[in-house]
Amino acid sequence: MKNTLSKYFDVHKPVFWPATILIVVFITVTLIVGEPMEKVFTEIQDGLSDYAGWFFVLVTNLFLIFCIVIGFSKLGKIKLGGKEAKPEFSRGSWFAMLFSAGMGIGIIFWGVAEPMNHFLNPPQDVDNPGEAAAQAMQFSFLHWGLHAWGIYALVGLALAFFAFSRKLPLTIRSVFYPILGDKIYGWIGDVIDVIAVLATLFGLATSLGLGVKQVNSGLTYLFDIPDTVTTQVLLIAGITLVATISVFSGLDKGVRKLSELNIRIGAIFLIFIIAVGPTLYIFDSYIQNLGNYIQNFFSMSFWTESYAQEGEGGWQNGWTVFYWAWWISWSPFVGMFIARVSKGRTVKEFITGVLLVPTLLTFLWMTAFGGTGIWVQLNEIADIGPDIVANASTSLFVLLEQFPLSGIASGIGVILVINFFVTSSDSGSLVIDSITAGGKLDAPVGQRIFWAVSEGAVAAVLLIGGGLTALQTAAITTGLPFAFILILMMFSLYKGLMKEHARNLAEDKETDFASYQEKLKNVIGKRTSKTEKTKEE
Amino acid sequence: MKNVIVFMDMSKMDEIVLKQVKQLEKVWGFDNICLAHYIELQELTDDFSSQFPDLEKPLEEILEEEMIEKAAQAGWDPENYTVKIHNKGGKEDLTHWVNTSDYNLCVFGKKVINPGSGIFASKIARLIDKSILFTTETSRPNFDNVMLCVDFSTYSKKAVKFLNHFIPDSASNFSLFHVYKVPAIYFPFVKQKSNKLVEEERKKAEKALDHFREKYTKQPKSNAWVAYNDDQPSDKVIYNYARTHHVDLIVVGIKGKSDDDDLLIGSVAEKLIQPDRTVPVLLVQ
Repeated sequence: MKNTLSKYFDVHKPVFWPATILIVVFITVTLIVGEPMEKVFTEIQDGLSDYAGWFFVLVTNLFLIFCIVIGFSKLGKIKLGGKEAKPEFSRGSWFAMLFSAGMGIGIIFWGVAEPMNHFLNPPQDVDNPGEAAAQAMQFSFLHWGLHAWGIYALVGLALAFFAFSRKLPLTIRSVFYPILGDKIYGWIGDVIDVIAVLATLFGLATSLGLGVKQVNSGLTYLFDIPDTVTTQVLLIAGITLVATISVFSGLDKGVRKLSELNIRIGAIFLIFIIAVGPTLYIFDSYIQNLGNYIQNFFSMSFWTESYAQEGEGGWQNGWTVFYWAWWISWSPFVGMFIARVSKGRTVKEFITGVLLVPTLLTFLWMTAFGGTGIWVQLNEIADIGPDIVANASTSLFVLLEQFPLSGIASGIGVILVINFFVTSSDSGSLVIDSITAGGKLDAPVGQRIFWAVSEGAVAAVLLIGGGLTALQTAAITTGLPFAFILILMMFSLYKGLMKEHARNLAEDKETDFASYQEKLKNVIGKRTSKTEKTKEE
Repeated sequence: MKNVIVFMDMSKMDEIVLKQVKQLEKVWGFDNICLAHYIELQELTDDFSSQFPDLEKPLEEILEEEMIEKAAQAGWDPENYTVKIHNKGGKEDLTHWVNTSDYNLCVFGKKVINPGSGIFASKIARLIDKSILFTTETSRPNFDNVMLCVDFSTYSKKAVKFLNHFIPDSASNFSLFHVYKVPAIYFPFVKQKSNKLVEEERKKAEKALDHFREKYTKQPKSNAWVAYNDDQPSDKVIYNYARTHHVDLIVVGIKGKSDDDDLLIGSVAEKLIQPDRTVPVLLVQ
């Protein structure tokens, strides 16, 4: 019995059990208490953004600057996994996995809705609709651009470095080795890992729950399938099943294939909207939006709404600070995942890849979908704005309706959303699985299935009983404590990289081959003449 | 256990080191000794193989014979040691082997008179987390006068423990040495530090060192020396003091690899093992 169990389950008990128990307790409490719970968390979150907004703005900038400095300094040459390490995946697959794990699902949900929201409610004063449009795109870029990926790059790099170059287990605790030393194997490490598991699972479960609502509204829009909890629970079951199969077949088969499939469908979808939409306008505005983003980068990213008059402010708390906290609370998950696939890359390659590729793609997506939405509104082709602002989950389908072949396009959209959910869910399971197994990269299959199913179960339970929003708010609330952890992580990573650099320097010191060779020759000469002598004798 | 790896580099230095270790064994007593050599060439270069187109035996075998012969010449009993030739896996693998082994002291010969770069030894010293002894041609291998540099850190305590373990009570004269500094006063700015201040600091340092000696050393007659570091770097003060007081071995506790602070073995230790310094050094980690 024990043998069969350990064949399917190989857990690090001090992390696995507390995490599992806390998840059950948390879900039960949320279900029993109901709405007041949501209120409590919303208040905590409001408090956080009111009082700690400046802090989030500061640290996200800090993380980004740190990544760029590290990547382009002498430390950039360090290879993750030692000098001899070879990348596990081709560049193409690597980009695909980076992209779909990070925010693939988010940009489909918000790609149309966010720019439209900013366009209709400009965050800063504007004189005319054109300016409002430019500003809307700029702020959407800010939220989905370099800062988000700076956070992920930091966590991912730290994890990859300590796991591959230092040969520590691939869990969040390992990152603190330079600071905590062997204490990471003690209770402090367990606590860190339990928090990471909770944040990841709650984050995944809630976005699974909320995302399923989007899929459902898409299906309603397309096929008049009823928008009910039953449909959604069935959808969750389906998505979980596919995710389980994908997780079952492992990272290099299931997850990679689905990620690549995502990118293909996504690319087709993107090309489609560029083709049927205002093609020239999309290219024009992509260039202009990029320019605006670069031009206003510092003023936007350090903007804290300080001079807003009484009653005017608050925009930033709802958007920028919300995103910063969200990205930070997701960073263990995305970071673990991108670390997992980045063995053999140099620090410079890692930073450039993680910062630039997803950012540029996201920007193109935002311009193609959100920008087109704005174009429709700006040119008074149709008044889609109010619908989109009222219900973000239908925004994609509302937009597609304005263009030819909208039925097929919406169908592809739904498939894409579902597929992105599957990849988020399966990569999430891999991450949680690895943490609860004490950092093993290839934990037993039974355990992976357990976590994939738990995510689905948590999401379904919350959908039926209510409390999804409460849990999402709770997950985002973990952003503040995590921000402090990330600051520590920065120091820790810097220390680790500096040491690795010094080690490499010492290694590279010109070895005195010539004199060594001379010595060897002497020895061989001496010995061969000796053996000859004994032979002669 | 006192387990020792003696690194040989196939130069004349080997004979000297082997004799010294043999002598040292009589005084300190070792449990296990391993003679090790690391083949620095990962692949034999063309020039090299063209000179010896057909070696009758593998290179490892030739080198092993040579090492055994050298050991025999130095009076070693073949029963008492093992031989290890390290060829594959590069330095990473070598350091891994050393770090995970039961050996707790590595001995390198440091060439002061004979030509040699010493790059290999100083490089390996950075990578391994065992204690390292650098002997020189002029070492007096009984190590009658051992001087431990104390800065009251945990590394100094570790070093004392190591010495207590390795050196039998009666074997050596044991001295503790501490370099004290007088903190600079910037306001009001006084260029010359007053004798009174130096004297005060000396008293403090002596008291602290006495306390350290009573608490950690087991040799009752150990000396406690302090020296004033005026403007010279500490390593120079230490080295000069050691030369003038006929010290046979300078011992420094350094940060081990487990403390991820920095890879460099510390500036003082670094300077003490420079090729031109003739006093043997033991780095304890």
